[in-house]
Amino acid sequence: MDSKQFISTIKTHTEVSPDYFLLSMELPSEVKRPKPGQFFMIKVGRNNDPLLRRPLSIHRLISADTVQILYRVRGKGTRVLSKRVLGERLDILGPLGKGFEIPSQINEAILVAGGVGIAPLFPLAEELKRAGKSIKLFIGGKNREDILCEDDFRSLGLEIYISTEDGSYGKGGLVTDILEDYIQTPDSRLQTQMYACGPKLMLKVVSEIARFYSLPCYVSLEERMACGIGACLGCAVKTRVQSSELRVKGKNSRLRTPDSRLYRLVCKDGPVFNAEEIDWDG
Amino acid sequence: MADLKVKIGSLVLKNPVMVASGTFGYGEEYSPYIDLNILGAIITKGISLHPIDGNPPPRIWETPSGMLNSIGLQNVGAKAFIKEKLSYLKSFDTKIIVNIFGTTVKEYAKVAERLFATQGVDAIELNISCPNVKKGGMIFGIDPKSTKKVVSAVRKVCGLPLIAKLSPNVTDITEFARIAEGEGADAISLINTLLGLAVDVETRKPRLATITGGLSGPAIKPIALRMIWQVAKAVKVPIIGMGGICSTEDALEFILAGATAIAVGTANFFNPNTASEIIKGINSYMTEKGIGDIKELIGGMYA
Ligand SMILES: Cc1cc2nc3c(=O)[nH]c(=O)nc-3n(C[C@H](O)[C@H](O)[C@H](O)COP(=O)(O)OP(=O)(O)OC[C@H]3O[C@@H](n4cnc5c(N)ncnc54)[C@H](O)[C@@H]3O)c2cc1C
Ligand SMILES: Cc1cc2nc3c(=O)[nH]c(=O)nc-3n(C[C@H](O)[C@H](O)[C@H](O)COP(=O)(O)O)c2cc1C
Ligand code: FES
Repeated sequence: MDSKQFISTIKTHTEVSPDYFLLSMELPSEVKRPKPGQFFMIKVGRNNDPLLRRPLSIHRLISADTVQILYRVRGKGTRVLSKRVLGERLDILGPLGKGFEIPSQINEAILVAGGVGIAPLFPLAEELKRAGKSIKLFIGGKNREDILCEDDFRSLGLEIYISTEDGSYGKGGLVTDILEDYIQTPDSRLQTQMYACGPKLMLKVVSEIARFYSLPCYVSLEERMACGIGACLGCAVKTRVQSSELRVKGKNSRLRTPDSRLYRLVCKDGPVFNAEEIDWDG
Repeated sequence: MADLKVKIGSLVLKNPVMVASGTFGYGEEYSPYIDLNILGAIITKGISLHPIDGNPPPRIWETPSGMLNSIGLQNVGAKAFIKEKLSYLKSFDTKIIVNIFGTTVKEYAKVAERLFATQGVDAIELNISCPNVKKGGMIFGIDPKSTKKVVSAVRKVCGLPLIAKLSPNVTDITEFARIAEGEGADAISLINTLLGLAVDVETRKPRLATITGGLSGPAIKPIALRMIWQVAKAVKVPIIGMGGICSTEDALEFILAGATAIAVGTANFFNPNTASEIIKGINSYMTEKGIGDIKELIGGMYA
C-alpha cells in the first residue's frame, strides 16, 4: 500500500463551467505520484459535516508538486467542497485504487467520456501520448456546458468527437451513437483498446458496443463509498462470476478462487475494471 | 503515564480503545494510516464458516451525522480468514478479537470451535445483532430464547473469552444482557447498528438495495450511551461500548456511563486516526485530572 493520509493546501479553485469546478492543490513530496485512474478520498468540510469523505479522481498532475481535480456539484458534499477557498487545507487519503493499464501491444486508444467522466481521462491521454499511441476521444454531455477540457485535449493533438443530447454543441444525440458510427468501419491494421468513464448507463452501452465489435474495454466505475480503502465493503459492484454461496454448496466448490467473488470493490479492485467482468444489470 | 490497562474476562488490554467489527476490515487495510500496535484490540469483520457474498449494491447511504449500511456480512470465511488474515494480524502487538456469526446455532458453534482451535485469537465477539441478513444475525439477538441458545452453545465449545454483541433493536436491552451473562458470556458489547431507512424522493426508491439498513455514527451516540448505562446497572460483566464514538470526549462519556472499554466504528472511515487520538486524549485527561487508574472512571458518572 502506497497510500497516505495527508494535508494539502488549495492553490486555485475556479468554476470552469456552471457547477463544474477545477481545484489545484499541493501534493506533498512524501505522497506517491498518482497514476491515471486513481482517486483521492477528500474530507470536503471543515468539520464532520458531511461525515464521510468523497471520492474524486486525479485529473491532472500539473507539476511535480501540484495536482488538480475536476468535479461537478452533485449534492451536499460537492457543494461544501465548492465553497472551500484558496489557502485552506484539505485532509486527504490517497492515491487510491487501481488505475488504467496501457497494454503494450495496442497502437490505438479510444477514450469515451460522459460529462465529468472526462476527469480521469486527461492524465490517461497524456500517458497514452507519451507511449506513442494514436488517440481518439469521444465526449458526450446533455448540453454545451457539460463539454469540458476540450482545449486541453486539443493541445495534446488528439482526434476529438463531440456530441450533446440537445444538439447545442457537436453532433446531436448520445456519445455512444457517434462512437458506434466510428467503430463500424474498423481499421484492421489497428490494435485498439477502449477506455470509458461516465454515467453507469453510458458505460453499459459502451461495453455492449465493445463486446459486439470485439474490442477490449476498460471502464472506470463509481459506487457510493465510506472508507475508500477496502475496509467497509460498501462499494461493491456485481461481477459476472456466479455466487460463491451457490458454489460452496454445489458440486464446484473446489473451483472457488479468491478472484471468483460475486462482488468486487470499486475502491480497491477498481475503480477501473475490464468491462467484461461487470454484470451491468446487477 | 496513567494506567490504562483494563480486563475483559481473562483478557488484559493495554488500553481500553478498540476498533469495531466491520469498520476496520481485517486490520491490514488501515495499517498505512494508523499504527496497529497502539490499539487495545482489533475486532475483525464478522466471520462465518463459509465465505459470504453479501448484499447487492447500493450498500451505503450517508444520513445526517451518520450512515446506513447493508453490507450483508460479506466475508472471506473462517478458513481463508485463518490462513490469510489472522497470520498477518498476529504480527502486531495488540489483541485480536474475532467477530463471528452463523445462520444456525450449530454454525455459530462450529466457527467458534474452529477459532478456539486456532492460535492467535484472543477472544470471540458473538454477533447476534446484525440487522442486514435475513437468516441469522439479528434474529438471534431480538428473541430471548434464541439469544440463550446461541450463547450457551458457543460457550460450551469455546474456551476463549466470549463477548456477546447485543442488538439495540429491542425494547429492553437489559433482558438480553442478563441472558448473555447468565449463559456465561465474559463481556457484553453494545451497540450494533439501529435498523433504519432512507428514500430517494425523485425515484421513490429506497436508498439501499435491501430497503432497510443499519444506522451508525454520531447520530446514534445518545442511544448507545443510554443503553450502556442501563446494561451497566443490570450485569456484573464488563461492557465494551460503541456507537458514534469520534473523539476523546465521546469515549470518556461511554466509560463514565459504565463501559470498561470502547470501540471506534464509523469514525475510522472518515478519520483513520481516531483511535490513536483517543488513546492520547484519555491519557492527557487523566493526567490533567490527576487520575492514576482508568478503573476510577468506569461507571463514574454522578447520577
Ligand atoms: C472512484 C471515483 C472517482 C470519482 N471521481 C469524480 C470526479 O473526478 N469528479 C466528479 O465530479 N465526481 C467524481 N466521482 C463522483 C463523486 O464522488 C460524487 O459525485 C460525490 O461523492 C457526490 O457527493 P455529494 O455529497 O455531492 O452528493 P450526494 O448528496 O451524496 O449525492 C447526490 C447525488 O449524487 C449521487 N451520487 C453520489 N455519490 C455517487 C457516486 N459515488 N456514484 C454515483 N452516484 C453518486 C447520489 O445518488 C445522489 O443522487 C467519483 C466517484 C468515484 C467512486
Ligand atoms: C459498514 C459497517 C459494517 C459493520 N459490520 C459489522 C460486522 O460484521 N459485525 C458486527 O458485529 N458489527 C458490524 N458493524 C457494527 C459496528 O461494529 C458498530 O457496532 C456500529 O457501527 C456502531 O458503532 P459506530 O456508530 O461507531 O459505527 C458494522 C458497522 C458498519 C458501519
Ligand atoms: S469504500 Fe469501503 S470498501 Fe470500498
